[in-house]
Amino acid sequence: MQLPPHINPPAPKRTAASGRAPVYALVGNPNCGKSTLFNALTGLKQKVGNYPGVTVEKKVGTAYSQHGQPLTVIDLPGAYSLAARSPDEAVTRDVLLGRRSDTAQPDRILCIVDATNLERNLYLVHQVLDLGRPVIVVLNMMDLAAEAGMAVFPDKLAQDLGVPVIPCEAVRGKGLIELRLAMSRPDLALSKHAWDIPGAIAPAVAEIQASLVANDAKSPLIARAESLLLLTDQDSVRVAGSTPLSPRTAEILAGWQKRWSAEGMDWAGTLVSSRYDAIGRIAAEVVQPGTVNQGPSPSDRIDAVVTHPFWGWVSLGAVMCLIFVSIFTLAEYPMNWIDGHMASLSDWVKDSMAPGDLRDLITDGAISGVGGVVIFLPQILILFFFIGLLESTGYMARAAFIMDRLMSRVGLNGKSFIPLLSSYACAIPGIMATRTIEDAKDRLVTILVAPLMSCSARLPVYLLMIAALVPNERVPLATKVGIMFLMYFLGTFAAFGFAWLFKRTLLKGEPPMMIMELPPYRLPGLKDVALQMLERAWIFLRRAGTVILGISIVLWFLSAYPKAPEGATPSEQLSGSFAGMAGHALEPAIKPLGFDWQIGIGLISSFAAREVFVSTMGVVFNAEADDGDTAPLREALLKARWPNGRVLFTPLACFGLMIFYVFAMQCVSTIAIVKRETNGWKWPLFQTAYMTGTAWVLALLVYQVGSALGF
Amino acid sequence: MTAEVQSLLALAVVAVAALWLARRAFAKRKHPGCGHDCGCGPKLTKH
Repeated sequence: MQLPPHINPPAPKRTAASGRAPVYALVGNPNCGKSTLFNALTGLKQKVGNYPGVTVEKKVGTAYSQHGQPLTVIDLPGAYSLAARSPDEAVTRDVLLGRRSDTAQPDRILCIVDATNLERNLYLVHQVLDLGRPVIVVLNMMDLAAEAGMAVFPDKLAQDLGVPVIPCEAVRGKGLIELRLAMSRPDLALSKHAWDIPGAIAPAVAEIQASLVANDAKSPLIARAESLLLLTDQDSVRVAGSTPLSPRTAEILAGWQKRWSAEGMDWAGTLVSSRYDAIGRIAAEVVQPGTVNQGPSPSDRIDAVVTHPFWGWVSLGAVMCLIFVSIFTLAEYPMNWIDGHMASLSDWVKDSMAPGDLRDLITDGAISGVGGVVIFLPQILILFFFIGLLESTGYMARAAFIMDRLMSRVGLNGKSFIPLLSSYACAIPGIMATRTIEDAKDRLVTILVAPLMSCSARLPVYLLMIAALVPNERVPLATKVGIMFLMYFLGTFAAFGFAWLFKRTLLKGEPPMMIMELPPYRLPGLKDVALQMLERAWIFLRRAGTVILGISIVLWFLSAYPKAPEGATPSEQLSGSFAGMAGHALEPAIKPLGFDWQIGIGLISSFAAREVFVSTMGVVFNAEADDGDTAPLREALLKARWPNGRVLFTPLACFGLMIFYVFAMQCVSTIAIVKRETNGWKWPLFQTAYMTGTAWVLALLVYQVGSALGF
Repeated sequence: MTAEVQSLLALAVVAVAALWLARRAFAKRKHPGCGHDCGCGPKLTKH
């Protein structure tokens, strides 16, 4: 439908008027390379991965034109259509439609499309062109299209769409100069997008558009795009989102829908079919299908194994075993190195300073606390190296596919598994990743169970307890790997179990079907993996050098004051200290679990973050490496006793502590993010109560049943 | 450095650490979230 000139104005020159940098929005289907292109344009290090749903919130960066002019680039979550169904897609829709008060409506739009899957990607492009903004189409993954034997003709596509089309390989940086040149053009034309809206629907589009302009204060082009979205989706409330329709517009829309329903007409289907017909004609002219790959592709051959009902599980188990074995074996040397240097530092301070509180604070507080956590840096890095590899190769999406069979039995689908997988690194990005889930109840269930997945902050606790539980010289590596595997399995199994329970009680609903794209396998982007590892190392060290250092210092004070009378033993000093009083106050609740007041201090302090438990043990047990020994804290734990002389860290108590940390909600940051994502305190409080309650009950069962059985 | 001076300095360090932790906790309440501590995404250019 051609628009009359009075409602099809030229692009407003807002950038010149306001003096701000032109704003480009980067949009496209999930996993088409938006964040990779965003990083290439802005020099930032936004997380990328070879699976859909990595980006769930807009990210803003600055790129520079060929002439050095700053250009603001907004990386938006992937969307298949502007008819948003999930919170992350709604972000994309709302930014493009200028609904967000915190984001200026983009002046220009970069539409990135996957050249290997052009027809499907063009649906979003087709909708974006309705917005009437200057558009540049970036034809990404041209190398993969060529490998598949496909011929894609960018010039023909540019001619059909009426906008510049830039072929590109964002991963290798190819086509970026041409793209920057296109972005630098001040005279970027509006699209000549001419789409014949079906005749039966065109009058409704015009009437709703006019009403949106008159009654909802929309600009003419935005009103046209919104009217098309309102007619594409049956749920007008969902389309309107945060900007509810005026009564008059809602009345007009309902009137048309009523009329079409009476006539038995599927207006939404008609609109969508019409778009696909137009797209199909373009794709037929632009893409020459591949001829070289008649048989199964390499990705298909790998998938035959890793998504197999039996071998898929075997593969997943083997991958996890490989990760855990590497964590235990490869990390040993760098851990010894860090430990040795921490011990040397502590000795040097002791040799350099006279005895006193400041010296004790530095050695027993800061070095013991921070050193006890920093020693686990190599293991954290190994974990993230493997997570990065799995994400960049595309295996994560296969893991979700395998899990879908299991997830469907608990009432969720594989789409919930990507947030759960992300939660192995940290529950917070996992909870944010639930924005890709359309159904509100499924999303809430996933949020409620995501922190049960064993995050990297639990790793130091598990490793310390395994070290205390199974000393190196007596137990084979397989036992340690087995215990670690069991902890991860328990968390995952519990997440599924609670999801099943919640879906049948609090949040009843039908299990949804999963439609998930399996991306082709790609060689891992080692640069991205390395950057992710470095970023993680920095985050870990920053936490150690800030929060954990601060807590260790305060904890030293709490364990050193009030001062015990002259001649008191270190144990008596700790027992009478502020920290000791808190631990003693908690002891009645945790004694049935086999934990004493000293462990109680660790449980209280680690509510800030789980790994603080390790630093607290370092402070409380005053662990010091005096001879470069590899595990001084472990030895200090092994020497700890109850007042009656019994060993404190028995295998049963260590196992119970690990079980406690698998289930307990010991993370204030996660509670804060759940509050934000659920808009209130109800669900984070419920989550804290059910998780910590379960942790207490299971740790109690482990200790009491184990003791009764003679362990 | 005498034991008394060490005690005074140690208490000053503890006070600074406690104030910093308290201030940080308060700031978190105004802007709920992890403050990017968890690696959920690097701080990007403000727009």
